[in-house]
Amino acid sequence: MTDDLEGRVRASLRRDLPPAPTRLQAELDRLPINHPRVVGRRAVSSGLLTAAAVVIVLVGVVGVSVVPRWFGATVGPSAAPSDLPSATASLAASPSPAFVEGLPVHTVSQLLALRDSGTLGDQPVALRGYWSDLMLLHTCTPYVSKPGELEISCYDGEFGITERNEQIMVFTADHGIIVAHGPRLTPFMTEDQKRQVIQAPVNGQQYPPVPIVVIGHFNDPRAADCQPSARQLCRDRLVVDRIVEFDLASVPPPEPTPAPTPFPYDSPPPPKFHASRCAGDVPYTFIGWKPLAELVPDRYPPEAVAFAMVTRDVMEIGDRINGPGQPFKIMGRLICYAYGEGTAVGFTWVPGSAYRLWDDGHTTPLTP
Amino acid sequence: MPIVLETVGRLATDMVRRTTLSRSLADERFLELARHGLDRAYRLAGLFLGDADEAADATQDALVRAWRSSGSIRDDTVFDAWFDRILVNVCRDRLRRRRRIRFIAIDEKTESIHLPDPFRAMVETDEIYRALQTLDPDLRAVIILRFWADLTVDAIAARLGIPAGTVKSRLHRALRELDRELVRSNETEAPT
Repeated sequence: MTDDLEGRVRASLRRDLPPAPTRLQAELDRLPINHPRVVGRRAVSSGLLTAAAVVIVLVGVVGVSVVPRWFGATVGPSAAPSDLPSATASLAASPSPAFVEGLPVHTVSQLLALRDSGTLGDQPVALRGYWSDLMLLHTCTPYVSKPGELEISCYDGEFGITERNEQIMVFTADHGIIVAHGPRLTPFMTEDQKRQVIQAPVNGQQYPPVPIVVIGHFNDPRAADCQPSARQLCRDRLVVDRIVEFDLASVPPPEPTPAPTPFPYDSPPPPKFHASRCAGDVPYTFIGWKPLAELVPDRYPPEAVAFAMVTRDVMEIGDRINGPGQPFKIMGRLICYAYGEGTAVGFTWVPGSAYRLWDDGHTTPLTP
Repeated sequence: MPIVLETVGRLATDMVRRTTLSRSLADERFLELARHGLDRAYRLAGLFLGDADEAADATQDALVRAWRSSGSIRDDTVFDAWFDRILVNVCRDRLRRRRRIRFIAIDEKTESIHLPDPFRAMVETDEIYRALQTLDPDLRAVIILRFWADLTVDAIAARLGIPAGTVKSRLHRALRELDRELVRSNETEAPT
């Protein structure tokens, strides 16, 4: 064992070696899709506790076994639904009759304004908007004192009616929670009523918000059963008396991003990649340059601009993964994007479009 | 009261957004650093395992493991050492399991399947590298990190999670065993 041996070893190892194969580069690019980060217990707890404040929940939430139905739609980069090229981007309220059962039909903001004006009392009111339910399974901290049922303790804000076509709340892969941008409310509904408003995949979207019209009232006498600190919250709760309209067929189809491509410069640079590096020869709803923050909110500065492609249809967007019991694929509307000096293509999906497709054909939302 | 609560809600939402933002930036940084070190990681795995397909699989495993645990890394400057440690552990695991399991590429479209394997070629043509493949994984690791990656004893110790003294003794032992193996193979191949 001599210096000569060390030199020989060095010489032997230091030779021209090949670069990493492109499949490794692709795997790296797809890490956020193929391997969504597990939402840690602490992170979920933190997120849900914050959500508790957001939605004015009076009892803290301790996240365990989180299985949000929207997770598949939102485990990509944190995304404000109304910012993205999906059906959830529509700001238009669902078409609905101006009157139902002789009552004027209000939007969420109109109804909240009427309520806050103090003129409604407990008279019946009609509301139209978009129904969504996070269907988040989690445990709640034990109650110090029993909350009234109108408090909707622990789950307040996780379901309800939004004025815009957007989810009332979404989970992000970054362990965060984003609430709907527009006006929203969580009404009190009986279990029977909630069974009438089950969402389903429609028009290539996984559990999109569904147009809904309900009749209900505020200032329900059950507010008296609420804890003193929550009585006003309970008086302000819309109690649903009847579901007048809820039709999955009325869910609007995904809307293509309006052309021409919004671009902040006079002379856009050439495309950074070809469709072959995205999804291949398939229909796209968007191809062009776009402020990156509109595609991947909260990740990039507003001035960052990406070349992006967004598929029109749901497609396989991840490698086949060996899940518990059987393999599955991740399906969704793919977003491919590249920005900056680099040529690497990033991948994510349109919120509201992704789900797991198991080998036996059944589908499930993505879970951590 | 609703106004006050709404304000609280907005503040909380902002907190969520800020938290999300910082985590997102960390994710981007991870991808950037991993991309920068991808070729090196693949070569390190290739030298360790002597097989291009296995090297790619091991690098991919290491990337996934690192991605899943990257929340534990706060300092960019230690990324390489941290990732090397994960990769070396993955390679060692694969070498140890190799005795029981034969790894077979599942994806027949894998591009390298029809390409010559540079690492296998080294095994066939380079007696030093061939001798290296006979070493115990722990000994192989110190040789590659010292003579290919050109790391100091302390840096190797940090990557392998062992004391510097242990690195030195392993290096000494590894070179001695390499020498023996070279002598043995020369005797075997020498014409009688």
